Amino acid sequence: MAYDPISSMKQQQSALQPKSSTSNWRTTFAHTWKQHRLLYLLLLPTLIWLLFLRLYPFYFASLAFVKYNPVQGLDGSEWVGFKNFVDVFKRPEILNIVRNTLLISLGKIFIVELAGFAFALLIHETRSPFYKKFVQTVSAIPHFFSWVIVGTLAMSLLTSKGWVNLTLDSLGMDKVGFLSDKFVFPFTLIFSETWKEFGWSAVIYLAALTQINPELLEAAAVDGAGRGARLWNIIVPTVFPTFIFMVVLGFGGLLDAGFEQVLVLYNPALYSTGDILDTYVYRMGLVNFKFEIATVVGLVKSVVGYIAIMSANWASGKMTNYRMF
Amino acid sequence: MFNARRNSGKLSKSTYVLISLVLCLAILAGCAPKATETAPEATEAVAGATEAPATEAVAGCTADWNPTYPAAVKYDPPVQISVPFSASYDFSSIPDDDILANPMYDRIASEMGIEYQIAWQADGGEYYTRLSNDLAGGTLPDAFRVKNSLIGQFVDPGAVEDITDIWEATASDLTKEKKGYPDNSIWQEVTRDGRIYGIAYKEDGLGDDSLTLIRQDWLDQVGMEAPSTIEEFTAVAKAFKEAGLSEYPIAVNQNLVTWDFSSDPIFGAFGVIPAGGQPGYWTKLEDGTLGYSSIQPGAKEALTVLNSWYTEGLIDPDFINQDEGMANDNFIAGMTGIVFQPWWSAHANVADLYAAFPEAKITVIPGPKGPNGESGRAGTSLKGQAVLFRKGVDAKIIEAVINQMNWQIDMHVNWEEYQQYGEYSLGAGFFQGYEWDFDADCNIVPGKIPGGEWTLGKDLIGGYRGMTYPDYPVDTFTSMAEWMKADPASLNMAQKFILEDPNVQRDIEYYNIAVASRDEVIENQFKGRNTEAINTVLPDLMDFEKTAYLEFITGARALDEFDQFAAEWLERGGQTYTDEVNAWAAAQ
Repeated sequence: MAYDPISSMKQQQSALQPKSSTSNWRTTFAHTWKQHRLLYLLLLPTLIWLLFLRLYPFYFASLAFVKYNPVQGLDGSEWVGFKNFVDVFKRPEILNIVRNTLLISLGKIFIVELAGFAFALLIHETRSPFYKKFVQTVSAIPHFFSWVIVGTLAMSLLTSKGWVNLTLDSLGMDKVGFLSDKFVFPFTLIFSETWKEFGWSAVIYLAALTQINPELLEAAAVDGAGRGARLWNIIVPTVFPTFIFMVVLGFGGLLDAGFEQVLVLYNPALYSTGDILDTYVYRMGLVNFKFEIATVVGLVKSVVGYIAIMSANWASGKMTNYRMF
Repeated sequence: MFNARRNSGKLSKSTYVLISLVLCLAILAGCAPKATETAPEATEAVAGATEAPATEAVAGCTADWNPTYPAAVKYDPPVQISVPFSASYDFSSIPDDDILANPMYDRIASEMGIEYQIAWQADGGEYYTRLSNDLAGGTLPDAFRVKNSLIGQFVDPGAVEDITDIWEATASDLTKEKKGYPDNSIWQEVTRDGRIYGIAYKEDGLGDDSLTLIRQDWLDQVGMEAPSTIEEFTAVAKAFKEAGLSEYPIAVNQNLVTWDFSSDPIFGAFGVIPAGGQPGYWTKLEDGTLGYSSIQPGAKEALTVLNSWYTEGLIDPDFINQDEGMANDNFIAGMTGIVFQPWWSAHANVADLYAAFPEAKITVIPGPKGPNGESGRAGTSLKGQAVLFRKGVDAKIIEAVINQMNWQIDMHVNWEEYQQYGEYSLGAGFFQGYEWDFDADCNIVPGKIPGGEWTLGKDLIGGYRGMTYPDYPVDTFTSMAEWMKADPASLNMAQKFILEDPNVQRDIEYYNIAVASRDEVIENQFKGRNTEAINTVLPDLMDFEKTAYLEFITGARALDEFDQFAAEWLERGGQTYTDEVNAWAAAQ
């Protein structure tokens, strides 16, 4: 069976359940409490975290519904209902920006995960352990670089005087406006993200690959399955649920298309295809102290993210019979 | 995963309690409001620095230079003012990395009994993020500076003090006159119904004026005269390119109309100033109404020129990926030969270029002339920044800042009388051991912190920041131009020392060219405050315009579509903007 973080967690949870089933909840709770009070103590920090850093800030989400006056605070500000939402969504650019965000984000989720998946398969098939470790480490390193560094690198590689275009030019091909052509720019974003992240995203697939039962592979080999057949019929199907799991997780951040990356690489000529919600909010909201606009977009992002992750989870259940929750 | 049964006996009870406590404390510590950073006391004197410059110098060295200070109000006990500081100090020569341990702060503490304290340190965008946090959290510093576009965010909710009465009673006549109080447009943003809510300032009324700089050594090599019309600029740029002197001779960057390496003189030649960091200019149309210049026919002509330069390779094909800093790198690397830059390039990148290419020679020439034979440039916005005081601050603090301002403005305006030559570098001190020193032969030599004098006193709210006014540098640079013409025997040792610096010589030259060519500045016909309706449509409109302009220049959008762009601009809120601006004009 494939590595399955959720069911292994569930197994461990069920091991913690008390055996008695006849007593009422009160005695059950008392029993559990007595038995596991130290574990409950360890839960305390998480509860505090949840209360202060996740639930308490919800109060401030009401900023989206007021004309904010910083001096009188949230309670003293005038309640305007959905006016801020209307203001944001009647802006002429907004649909374009939502579209850019979704396309860039979807592209990144699928292509980064696919690349990580494929890369993990390749690594898995490699014989030399030293080479395997070496390639894996080197390819994961860019994940730890900030976008300011990777962006500068991309700039020097991809401008019209960059190494890539000079190579194209010397081969007699047309130069490509990776960072200046508005139709190419979204692909530049997706592929530079893929370059940065594929090594890192392969880590979880490699973990999944170690869970494949060697007996299954041996049996298939005995039955005459070649390398390709074993890959296609055993390895890929066992790791595929992990791929779906990662994509579903990715949907939670569907409206986060990579603020730092876009901010580093874009310019005003690319707004029509490269501007995303976060960069727009940054320019419109925070730079001009429009807290309400930033909150409205943040709130909408959360709601859409919630809907996206629930739908993806449902779709995943339908497609692979595998749900996260 | 923890499994209590399996692990029982491995983790002791106390370990559980400890882990849990540590995690809880870590989370709660993260939630707690950040403690105010404590500022070191300002009063301790810096070893080696003396308060009265020059005369108490190295034994045996006497000077013909006797600086004095204007009479000052002295606070006893001292007034303490907490202000935000810049984070970009060069600490290398300051004892113990203590910003306050520098002579600028010592001087104001000992002369006036005003002690500055550091509320926090940040620059640029982070500075305003900190201020917005302070505003929302009610923890604003006593006094702070704010850029023009954000003044309303503090004044309108009532976060800052009405200073009108203290200002009227305390500001000297000279201060009021120099700051153009109350009529100069720098006061517009802090004024509500005749009351003022902060001290308006403008560091330099010519600080953003683009001068036209050209590589004279290249002109000599190709044997051409300095260009005058747009056509001649094109011809010279082509000659530079063909002679192999520069691949992309004309410097333009993605922000088009901006504070450095701007392209406003190109648009200005056609009477147009489009949006950059600021909205574009308004111009009087034939029917007497005000029209937005970026959608007028002149704008199309200017874009046609820029597009032809782009297609002919006279400007860098990567310019849309380059900001001011990258344009600067190209210039210093000797890659561009025609640039549009403010006067202060004299001691900044022109100095860097000369250091890298000793044979280079830059000349400042008039801006390119358009079809009507006139040059035009955007000039410098006369919307002021402001020093604001948090609501509820001690009135003594406001009074102390204004008194400091009186003292420093007096010293600045009458600097020759007081012989306060630090004023040549815009409101700095001129302290022995810092900006200058004596050598063994009693000659003045540069001090320990070359260039450091510039930042040393910048966060004195009542000093450099607050005391400045649009013509602030005029008072130094016009008199320094006189020194250069004077008989050297009539100058004292400090004056001679300052004039020896080639950067200062160029500053004087470039600044006076900027003053002399003030008639090139195109006047924005809309001088009112932005209404709420304008502020709602403006950010989107500016983005829309910038995108379209860059597309027209690179050819991503055909220039035939210019009229369509103009119509779209009106449709996207430009009509509201136009109506509001004309309503303001009708009310004048």
